[in-house]
Amino acid sequence: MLQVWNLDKKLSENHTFHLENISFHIPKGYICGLIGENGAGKTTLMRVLMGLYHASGNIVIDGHDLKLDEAAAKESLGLVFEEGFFQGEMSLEQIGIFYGQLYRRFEMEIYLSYLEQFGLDKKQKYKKLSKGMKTKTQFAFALSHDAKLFLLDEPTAGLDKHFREEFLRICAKLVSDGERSVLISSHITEDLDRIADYIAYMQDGKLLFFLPKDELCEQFWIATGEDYKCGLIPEEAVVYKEKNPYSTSVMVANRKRFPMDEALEKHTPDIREFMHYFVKGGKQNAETVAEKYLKK
Amino acid sequence: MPKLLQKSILKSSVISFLFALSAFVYLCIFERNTYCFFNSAIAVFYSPELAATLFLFKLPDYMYVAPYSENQREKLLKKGQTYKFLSIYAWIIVLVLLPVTFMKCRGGSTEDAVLCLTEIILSTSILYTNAFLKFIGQTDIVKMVVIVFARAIVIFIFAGCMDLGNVTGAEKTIELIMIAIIAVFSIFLVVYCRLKYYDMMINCMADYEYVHRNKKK
Repeated sequence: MLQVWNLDKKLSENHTFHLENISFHIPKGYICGLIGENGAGKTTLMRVLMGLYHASGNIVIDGHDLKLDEAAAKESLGLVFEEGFFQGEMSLEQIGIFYGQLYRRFEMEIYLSYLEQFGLDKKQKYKKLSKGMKTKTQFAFALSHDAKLFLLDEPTAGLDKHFREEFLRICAKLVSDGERSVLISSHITEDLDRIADYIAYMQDGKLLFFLPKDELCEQFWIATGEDYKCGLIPEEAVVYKEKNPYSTSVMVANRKRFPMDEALEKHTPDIREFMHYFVKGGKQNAETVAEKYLKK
Repeated sequence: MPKLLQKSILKSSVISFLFALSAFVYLCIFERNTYCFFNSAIAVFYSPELAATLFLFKLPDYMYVAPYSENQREKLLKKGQTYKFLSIYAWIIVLVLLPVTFMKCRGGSTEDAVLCLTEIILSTSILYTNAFLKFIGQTDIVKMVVIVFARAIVIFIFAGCMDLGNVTGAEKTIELIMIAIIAVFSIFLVVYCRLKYYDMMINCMADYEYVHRNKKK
């Protein structure tokens, strides 16, 4: 569904930040979570995939090259973005009328039914909505023109718990027919734990790894126990060691290769825990770990 | 053309029309042709940002993520800009068609008619080139400064020729030559901007990065 090869993008001549040699592939019917610290390049990558920024390399969306067949590629995109692009003085109904016309497969009835389902008043002006309601509007719109690839940038930030549940349910349902895919950039790793099939981690403009979520997490242990026992774990296997008041926790890489003391409590990290230890270990360490254990 | 774009063109054109209409209002109120409009124009063209806002059509942000190719965006931009230019020049049509203003412009003498026509050409040139100033400044700041300076000189020269009806002999000849030069220069400026910068500018405006990089500045 989404294929990216050797994507390189420098923001400007004066900017030091740039996306470096990014390649990954999201198959149809899967959800990919894009994670990374602030300033890692997630939003920049999203903007390149949306076609807002030009970059070297190749991007193919639903079989259409974004450079050679821009219109067809963008026809397949459903977008939820922080700032959104809708004109504030329009009502939600007008947004459907004016913006829906830009898409060949837009269905006004579907859009209005989603607005109703999300508890939005179609007569209300977009600029008067809260951040969460704007996200809901964008999501309703994205669901209404038969998009194949959904690019969602921090979609659950600002959403109430009830709608977050509904949002995640809708995302999971979207891909269930095997014809659509979703790329979610999010700091709320609990959401990604629930629905993501793949995890992509970005740091300083580089894609450190892109792996199936289960495969990623199963490469690591979180071991908890007495400090001296944790100290027996070989240094090369330790991603990060965290001393707590009564025990020490260690994230250990390549767990199959490095057996540990039976007395240590071990469990497979979830995405939140993985991120916590991976980031805490420092950028250099993260790159080393990714290079050694997470590159295919 | 999508309705979203029609709405944007309408909104953008109304703003330009109202600004350009101020020239018509000034011409109606004052006895002689006046430079209040030129004063407004001077204020505008010393601020390329303001000039770009008033005279340049910009696509709504969503058009950059909507399913349109860069070529399609360029075509839409050109259409939008055409409508915007028409709204800017609407006052000229009103000026020519309305008997009151036309008679004022004619004033009964050939000299007044010459001055009126030259003023129309000069105003048209200023309005048209205003749309390009910011872009020219980004590509070549020296050229922009030269154009701005040249326009200012031309306006002052034109102001000096306003007594054409009251002078005779050599002075009249000189003023007529000056007026001819002003008219030719104004037309040259329009043609120069159109041929050299129009397509280049539209191409840049079709690029989201260019538009928003300049918005941030």
